[in-house]
Amino acid sequence: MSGARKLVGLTPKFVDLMLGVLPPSDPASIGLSTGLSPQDILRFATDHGFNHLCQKDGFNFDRELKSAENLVSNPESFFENPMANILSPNEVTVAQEQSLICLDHFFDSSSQKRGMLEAIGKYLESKGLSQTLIEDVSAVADEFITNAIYNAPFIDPHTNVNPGLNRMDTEIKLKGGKAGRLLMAHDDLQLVIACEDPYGSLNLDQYLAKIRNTYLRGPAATMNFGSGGAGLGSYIIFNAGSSLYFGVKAAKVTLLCCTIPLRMSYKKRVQLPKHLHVIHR
Amino acid sequence: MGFAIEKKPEGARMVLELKGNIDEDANFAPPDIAGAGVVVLDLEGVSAINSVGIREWIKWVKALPGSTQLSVRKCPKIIVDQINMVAGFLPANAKVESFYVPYYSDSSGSEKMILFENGKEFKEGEIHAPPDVKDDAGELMEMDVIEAKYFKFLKNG
Repeated sequence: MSGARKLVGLTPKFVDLMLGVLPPSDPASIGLSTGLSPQDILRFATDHGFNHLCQKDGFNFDRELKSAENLVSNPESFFENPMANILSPNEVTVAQEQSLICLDHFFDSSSQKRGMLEAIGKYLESKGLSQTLIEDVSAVADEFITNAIYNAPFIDPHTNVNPGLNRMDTEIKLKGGKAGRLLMAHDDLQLVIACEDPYGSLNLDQYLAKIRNTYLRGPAATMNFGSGGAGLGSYIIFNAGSSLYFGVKAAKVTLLCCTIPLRMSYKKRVQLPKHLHVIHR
Repeated sequence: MGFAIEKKPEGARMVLELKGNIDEDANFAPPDIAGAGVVVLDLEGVSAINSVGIREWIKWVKALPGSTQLSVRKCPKIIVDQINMVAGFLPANAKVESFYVPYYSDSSGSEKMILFENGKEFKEGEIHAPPDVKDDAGELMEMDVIEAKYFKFLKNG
């Protein structure tokens, strides 16, 4: 827990990425663009240090921009009320957070994963949502939970090395009374699936670079056929979302959120330019 | 949903029906397919596949005897996505007999999965989609995939 510290709030600055000339990397910058591919969004994050990238032709741009402004000026707030920050950035309160959450599961064992995924499926089916959407949300939740149980507790905080726990082992339990948390929230437009783990061991620079590499080289070329994870989970998550929020407080908490538009065809959904928000590195 | 593989001989072909989630809990033991020249994987019952499941699937398929002629049928969208996304998800000589294509109605928000079969809705890499797919209210539905991506595997086959 020694690495945890209060995140510093800054005054947002807006940078038009289409102008071609980029200012020096600044954590207060919000990159604005149109029609960037997932690879390009990741390039601006990894190579140019942008923490917030909002696309004008992405889903619900105005709300994304407001959310980005909030998170630049008050990044702590993301960890306190993530759903309100994403879905109602003009009203970020505990009450609003609670009103948005439709599913909230704490977990400390790999054996709980299946039950949580079934709960997600049942809830979304009860709302009459399409099978393709339910499959996408379930796939993201699966990778989130898997990461929280099989990766987060075992990453060396000094070297960032992940020993690659065998997924075929018997039940894995989080030790020391720790628990992860799976959250789902939605309004009429958008759904957020999120997962929090109490380790804060994810290196976001490596994480983003890995996703970018998978886009560039293809999943088959980057897949791990040895022990541990397949190395595709982060790509599956990123691919499914119209907006991604990745937050880490070192050695304290990792909070990953993926938003998916509702009431929209799959074809429209997957072609939406993505937004990206990185809270602390 | 737990994972299971059920063997169902179908004439000279051995059909393996896969059901449930393909993930770290899936028991991908080598199937007893001795003597079967043609093995058909019926994937209609596959409800999910995660990143570890993709890897285990590839290992399992690669371990099938080299003399086996492999076919897959009734592939749900989650499997078609993997075939297109992950090179080597299916062996190069594997045949796709049929697969599902999602259709969506903008007016009702409803979705249907339509089975495309070789020789009917697709043939030699070309798509011959059914002319009219309608929702329960009789409204026309639109094919809900990016065709260049979703049918990519047919061009590669």
